Amino acid sequence: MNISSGILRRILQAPGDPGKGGDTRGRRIIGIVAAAFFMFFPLLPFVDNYWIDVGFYVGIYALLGLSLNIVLGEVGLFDLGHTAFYAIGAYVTAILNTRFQIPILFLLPVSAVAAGLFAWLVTTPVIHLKGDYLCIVTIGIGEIVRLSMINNPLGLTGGPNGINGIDNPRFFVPILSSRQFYYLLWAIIGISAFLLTRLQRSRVGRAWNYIREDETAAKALGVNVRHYKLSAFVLGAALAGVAGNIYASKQMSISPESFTFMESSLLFCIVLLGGLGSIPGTVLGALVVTVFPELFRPFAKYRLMFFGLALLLMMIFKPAGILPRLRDSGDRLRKTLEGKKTRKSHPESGSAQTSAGLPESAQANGKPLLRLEDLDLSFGGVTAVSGMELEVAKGGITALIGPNGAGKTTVFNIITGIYKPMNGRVLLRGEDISSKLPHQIAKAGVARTFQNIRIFPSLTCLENVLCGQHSRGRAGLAASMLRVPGQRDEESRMLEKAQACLARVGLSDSADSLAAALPYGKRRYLEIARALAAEPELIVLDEPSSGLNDAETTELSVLLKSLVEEGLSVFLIEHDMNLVDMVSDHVVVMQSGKKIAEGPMCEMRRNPKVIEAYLGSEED
Amino acid sequence: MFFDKGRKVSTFIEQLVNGLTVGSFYALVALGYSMVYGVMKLINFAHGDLFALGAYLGYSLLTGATGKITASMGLWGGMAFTAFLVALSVALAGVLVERIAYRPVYPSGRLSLVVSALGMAIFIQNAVMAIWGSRPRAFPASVVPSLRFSLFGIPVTLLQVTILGISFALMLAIWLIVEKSSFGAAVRAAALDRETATLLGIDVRKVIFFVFALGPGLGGVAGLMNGLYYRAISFNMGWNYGLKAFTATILGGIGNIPGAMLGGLILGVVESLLAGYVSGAWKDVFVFILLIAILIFRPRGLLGEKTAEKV
Repeated sequence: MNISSGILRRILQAPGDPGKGGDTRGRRIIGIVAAAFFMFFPLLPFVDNYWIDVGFYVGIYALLGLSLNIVLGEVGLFDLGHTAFYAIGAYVTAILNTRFQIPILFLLPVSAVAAGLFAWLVTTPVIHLKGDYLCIVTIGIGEIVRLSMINNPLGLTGGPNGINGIDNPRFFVPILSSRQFYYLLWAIIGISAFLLTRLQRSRVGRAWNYIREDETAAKALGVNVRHYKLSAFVLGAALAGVAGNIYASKQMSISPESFTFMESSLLFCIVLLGGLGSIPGTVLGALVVTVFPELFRPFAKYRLMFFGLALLLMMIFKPAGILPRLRDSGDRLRKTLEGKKTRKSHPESGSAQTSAGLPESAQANGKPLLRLEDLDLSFGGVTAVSGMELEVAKGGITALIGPNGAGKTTVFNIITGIYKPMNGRVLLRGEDISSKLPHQIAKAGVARTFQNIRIFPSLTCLENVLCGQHSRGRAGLAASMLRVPGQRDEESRMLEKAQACLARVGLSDSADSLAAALPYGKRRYLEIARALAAEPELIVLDEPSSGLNDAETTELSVLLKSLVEEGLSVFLIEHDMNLVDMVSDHVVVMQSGKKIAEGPMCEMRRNPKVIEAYLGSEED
Repeated sequence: MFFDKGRKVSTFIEQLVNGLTVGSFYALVALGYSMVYGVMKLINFAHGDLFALGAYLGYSLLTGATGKITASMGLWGGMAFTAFLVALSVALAGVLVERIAYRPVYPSGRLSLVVSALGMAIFIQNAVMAIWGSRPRAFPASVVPSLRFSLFGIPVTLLQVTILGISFALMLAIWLIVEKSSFGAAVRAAALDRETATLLGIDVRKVIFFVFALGPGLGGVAGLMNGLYYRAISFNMGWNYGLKAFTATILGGIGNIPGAMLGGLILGVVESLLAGYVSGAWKDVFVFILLIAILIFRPRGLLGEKTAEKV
């Protein structure tokens, strides 16, 4: 009794629980029990073909749920037309099989590729749309596909009646019986879940989550947002195409009725019901959504009514889902990399070198690292920055000050590529970066923090910091799923670096707790650690001391100075003049989008223009 | 016939009037989406099914025992009574939807809201099916006499004139409320920035009550008129009309009241002309392609304003 309640407690542990992010042992025990159940279910004496078929449809929804989970759960993209990809897979299989007698199992990868390609084509022009807008587009795509199937273009889709006479697959023997289909499908689900779990614990899976948590922060720290959103859609669609192939061959006939908006809504509910981004949760969600109406079959008329009500109640009482995703601890991540590792860990790791790998030394002080020339930017007639120019010296601390609304943050947003200037250039080491995208600028060596802290709240602190390392890695989808040796080495290198950066700001103890559980001051440090993990040459800090108390501010000044000693250049916006005085080598003063003065802080205090614009009220 | 120019022009005008009639349904339903989205930043997926509920309530009021009562009030009296009851009960349903499905879920975030909205939509749709059955129902013939006449040289039916008249009167009323009254100003303020509106002393709960009563009320009347116009109604008609009306909302600029009306009328006309001159079977495909194109090239719609994201 005790043991089971302990396991239960672990399973039901809420994701927002402060403290350690993931004790997964209880989950694993349940997982093994569940896997065993699915494996032996069709062999149980009281299970007839009807219930094996129910098990098959649970599987179809589970596979579709897993495929939508990549898009909706991992990346947070509202996809309410996912059935379109499922339909493409089913129709490609049906058409090629009935017309050219191509074997079903051969068409399995073909369907996956077709659905993936279709997803790539239709989402590429709309991938930049946000939230509800993308949601509406996906609904539109779903309807366009379904209506096209009904309209029977070129006589291919068979109109409202669909296509009949689809073969059964052959895997050495023909797959005919309910039981055979059940095992074929659940084997594919098993493989998919295995590979998707690997993805979750990789650079790719984390990049997806960063986008879901905070898109702006993700791209400023080096994640190619567009690429990862598209890759999620393509992979998700391909998996849905696989489900379409198996569904078509089991049914032997398909029609547009199976691919309605209602189906897409059901898939959406499965992912949310199970828990966003949770693989076991999605399978459980599919089980609930499929079996619930079956159990209420005697009340046929009312069963979907009850189902709607159940969805509602679920969202009121357990909005995080039945089995919310638990984040992996640092130990867990490390363990998955151990064992089959090919090379020993790197000798230089562990030491907290913040600018490791950069060619020039800190002694090249004075040469401008960053130069802004003649920048202009206005928003709908309101000038934010005009004719702005400044230089940030290499190996020092430059501060940008000025009254509220002077355009300081806008300058930072231009430097990091969030905004494009209308005029002027941004030169990093003499190279114009003003046309580059945020993630490219991060890779070129500029990392930033945000004025209104942008951490990834439902990820662990370690995962937050790993985001910085994203641009220093290369492993893609295939390498992460197959866990090739190069990917393992890269992952462990990234882990070590991230841990070193956490240690650098004194947050090692919080590595495994969720970022949302950190107190305010520590969140600022977490952001700094994340920026350091990007191995930047220039670190750009937007009001780092805001919200910190005096002791914390002093700590911050010590940290900033030591970063410079290690060869880093710092550029910060600051309102705390004492901090600026303590740390900065050079101060640039802005007012109304323009530079009005620059020099050492002591001079700025005496400069009449500056006093008039900004310090006046303090000095009087 | 191909050379008969007069015939071609009159067909075009017929398509246009038909398009405006359908467009006015879309416009009335779109108003509900737009008002709710403006204040709540939420797509009320149950809205289309409230439209269907309006059609079914109207059906019940105009047939059977209640039909005798409404008939005894004369044509216009009976219609007004039916429309009033439908608007009132669907408005009540709208307020209940907000209380049950959205208010308790609001703190849990947007994704949970989408699911509870979908859950509510499934519930209403299947409740309608449980009450009225899964087979389509037919409105009684000629509630409004099938009178054809010419208005400024344009051939119209009495039903079309009635529908267009009521729709435009309702739209004008809504426009006046939202743009001219102090309560309308509160609605617009809440749509612009809910928190600031609260700080300025606007009772946002009242605003929410208002949009969830008014939007579905209008949608219910649109459902009733739709039943009178096409006569056949089915329990799942809400999905399709909801989707179309939502397209109209996007077309006009989501959250923008005049935009929703304009979007609805334009969509109705475009659809009708597509069906008449291109292909009836493919018109919906074109409509959805149009929707996606708007979102790519002018995401704020025809009348929406640009907003910049704050970093």
